Formats: sequence, structure tokens, C-alpha cells
Amino acid sequence: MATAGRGDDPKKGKPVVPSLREQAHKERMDLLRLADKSQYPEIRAAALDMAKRSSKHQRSQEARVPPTLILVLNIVLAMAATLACWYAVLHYPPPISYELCSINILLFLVLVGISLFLPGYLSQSNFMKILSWPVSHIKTWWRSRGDKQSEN
Amino acid sequence: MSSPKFERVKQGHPGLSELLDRLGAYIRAQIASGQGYIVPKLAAAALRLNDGEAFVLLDLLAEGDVLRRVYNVYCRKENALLATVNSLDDLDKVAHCDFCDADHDPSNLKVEVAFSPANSDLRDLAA
Repeated sequence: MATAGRGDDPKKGKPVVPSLREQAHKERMDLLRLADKSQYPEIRAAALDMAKRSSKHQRSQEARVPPTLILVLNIVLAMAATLACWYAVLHYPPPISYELCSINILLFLVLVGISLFLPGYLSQSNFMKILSWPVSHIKTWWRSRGDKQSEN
Repeated sequence: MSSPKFERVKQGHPGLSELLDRLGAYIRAQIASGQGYIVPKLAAAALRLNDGEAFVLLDLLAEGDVLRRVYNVYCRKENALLATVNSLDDLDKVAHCDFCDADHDPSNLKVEVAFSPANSDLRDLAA
């Protein structure tokens, strides 16, 4: 069987050759890149459209986790986050419940981000953006805590 | 080459009508001379286009069901055609090289995107 993965094999340290499917995709994309330099605007537009569809198809083929599973996982996470917020509002006084809700939501967003980033549906920069939200929240909380202590 | 499907592709891309006509004539000539596959590189050379332009025109015909996208797999060592498959999925099933009598690693194989006439239009193309 002519199969192989992508990139380098980290265990053996030797390069892993692209599979035939990946070679075919690369050839197709190379040709579309050439077509993008065409003097005919209609060919350029068609090449762009084909490249978009081809990349999308390739991404879905390469995805190690099926998109349906991710969708189900995210729906379950959303339900859990909603229930946790509901519980916090019912059982804690407003300032604490608000804080618990915001922690819940941030945790939910981070978990959604991880579930999208690992299979390759989310770019690294967007994933880092999501990770920066809880960090900035913690910083704000820490600063306000420090202010309160200095007032006392 | 004037099958209804071919005309539909031309109508969808009026700006490429002339190029598609030239490509149609080339495809007809290739089929008449017994060539089973239309290779973008060769079509580009014949039509004085760049490889990418020829590929896009051929792919438009494939989307219009005039042609069929195929993948030719070659043994790099012998430069011999091992198999022609219709889908990307089938590429991973290409295994044994009869020329070398070995199961090649993908690095020893080469894939070429090509096009063949869609079955339903074969009659029209040759006419």
C-alpha cells in the first residue's frame, strides 16, 4: 500500500514522504497557482474558486476527528456550560455567581478552541486569541483583588 | 466538439468560449489519434497557454461532465505508467509495481493529473 503521513516522523527523525493523495493535491494546487497568473480574468476567477474548494475538501479529508463528532462534543460542552451557569446563579449570591458564570464561559470557549484546533479546523493565531481571553480575565481579576486589598 | 454539455460549459464561461473551442478541437484530435488521456501540460503546449490555464479549462470541462478527472500513477525509476485511477481515494490502493516487481514507497511513485472523456460524451467527442 502506498500510504504515508505528512511532515517528519518525530520518533524516527526521518522525513515522511507525502502520500500519493497529497502529491496529487499538491500538483493540483501548483497548477491552480500558475492559472492565477493568467491574463484571462475568468480563468483566474475559476482557479481561485477551484483552489478554495480543493483546499476545503483536502482539509476535511485530512481531519483526524470527524466534524460531526466535534459538533456533538461542542453541543455537549455548551449544554454543560449552560447548566453550570444556571446552577451558579441559583446557588450563589450575584457577585460570586457572575464570576462563576464568566469562568464557565471562558472554560467553555477554551475547550471549544482546543476541540477545533487539534483537528485543524482553527488556526494557531485564532487559538492563541482564545487562550488570551482567560489570561486577560485572570489579570483583571488579580488587579481588582490587589486594589481592594490596598483600599483595606 | 459540440455536445450539449460542452455548449453548457461554454455558456457558463462566455469569456473563455474561444479557448474552450480550441481546447475542444485539441481533445477531438487527441481522441482521434488514439490518445486515452488529455494531459494539461501537453494541452498547454499545444494551445500556447500556461499549464495552469490548460488545467483550469480542462477542469471546467470535467465539472461540466464532458471530461473525467483521472490520476495517472508512474514508477519514478522506470518512468512507466502503473495505474490510472478515477478518485483520490483510489490512489492509496496503488501498490505493486510490475516493472520493478516491488511495492513502492510513495516517494518512488509520481502522480499526474489527467483527463479522459466522460463515457457519455465519448461518442460526441469522436464525431
